[in-house]
Order: sequence, then C-alpha cells, then structure tokens
Amino acid sequence: MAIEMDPAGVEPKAILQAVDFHNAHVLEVGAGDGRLTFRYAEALRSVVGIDTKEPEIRSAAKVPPAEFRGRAEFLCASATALPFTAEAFEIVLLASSL
Amino acid sequence: MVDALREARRVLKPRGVLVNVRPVTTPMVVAVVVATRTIWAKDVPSYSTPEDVAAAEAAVQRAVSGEWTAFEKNVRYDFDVYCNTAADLSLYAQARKLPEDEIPYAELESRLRELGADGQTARLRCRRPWQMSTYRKK
Repeated sequence: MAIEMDPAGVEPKAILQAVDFHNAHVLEVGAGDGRLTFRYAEALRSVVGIDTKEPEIRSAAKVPPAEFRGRAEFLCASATALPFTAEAFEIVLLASSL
Repeated sequence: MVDALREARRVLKPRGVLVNVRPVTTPMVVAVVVATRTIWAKDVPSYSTPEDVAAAEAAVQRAVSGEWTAFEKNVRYDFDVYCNTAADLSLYAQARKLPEDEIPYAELESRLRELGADGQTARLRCRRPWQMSTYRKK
C-alpha cells in the first residue's frame, strides 16, 4: 500500500498561519494517529491529543518524535466528556471531529 | 455535537481559541497525475448526503458564533492525497467514509495501466477542499 497524505504540508501551514501556538497548552480532539499533531506542535508548550479510536491513538502515543517527548500526550477519550479541568487549554483544535 | 462544543468551551481558557478543521461539502477531484501534470480528472461528491453536512455545519456556526465565542477567520485549503493504485485509493476512501460508489476505480486503474505501458510513472491524486475556522472565547 502506498498512500501519501498532504506531501506539500498545506494543512499544517494553513493552521500555523491562522493560529499562534507559541507557548500554548493545546488540546486536539480527533487526533487519530497524530499525523497532524506532530506537524504543528513545534512551537507549543504541550499538546494532548484525544480520540475514541483506540488503535490509532495508541499508535500516536507509541511514536512521538524525540523533540515532542514530554510535551505530547495521547489519550483515548470522547469529545463529549473531556477528562480535563475547566480552563486548562489556550487552544482547542477540533480535527474533523464534529 | 452540541455536547462536544460545550466541553470544548469548558476546557478553554478565557480568550482561548477554538479551531474547527473539517472537509467542506464541495466535490473533491480525483485525478491521474504524472509528477505535477494532471492527465485526467473527475469531480466526485465528498459526501453522500451533503445537505445533512451543510445543516450540521450551520448548526456549529450558530452554536459557536453565539454568546460564548467571537468568530475570527476562515481559511480554505486543498488537502491532497496521492495513491499508487486504485486499491490504495479505495482503502483511503473506506477509512475516510468517502462515497465509494462515486469513485471511478476502473477508469482510474485503466488510465494508470496505459500510462505505465508508455513508461510513465503515474499516480492518483484525491484533492479535497477543507476549511479551518477560528473562534475566540469571550
């Protein structure tokens, strides 16, 4: 199988141009396997990715690139019952998850 | 959907930013390409029920543009996926729940074969329009 997604990086470029991630705590809802997360996560302080698809979120948790270790966390959780305290994040990114 | 938005609101700090990234309802374009040159292309519906998606989209806009967030911007972009074979494209379409009946797999595979016989390395490109909207919590 050979599938290549967004080789020009159009999506992370659009996101980085529209939102200031600098030093932010970010929640990504619908993070899946972290494909998008690792492409915008450079400037932020921390990111938590959640998804209800357990195999995908496990795969994201297994292989964070070295530069994101300690700053990226992935959990199996639902968007309708977020396991976080109120006002915990500067940015909430809904990745095709509504 | 409304529950998810309520939760997003709860965990966002005041003046925090909600970013909603999703595909839009306009058709995607499935093409046979050689390098960056498009050899053949066809518009394909992105959704089997675009009217439902449009209604859901309007509901989200109403919910988040109400009293608790201020709309900031919309950005549109094309999300490209390249596949070596029609079978690869089918796997992608299944994973993304695209309307598979609308994708002309036989035609795509036949054109790939023809180009391959001519010694050209062709691929399939699925270009789907996406939109990102940002809202700031009041």
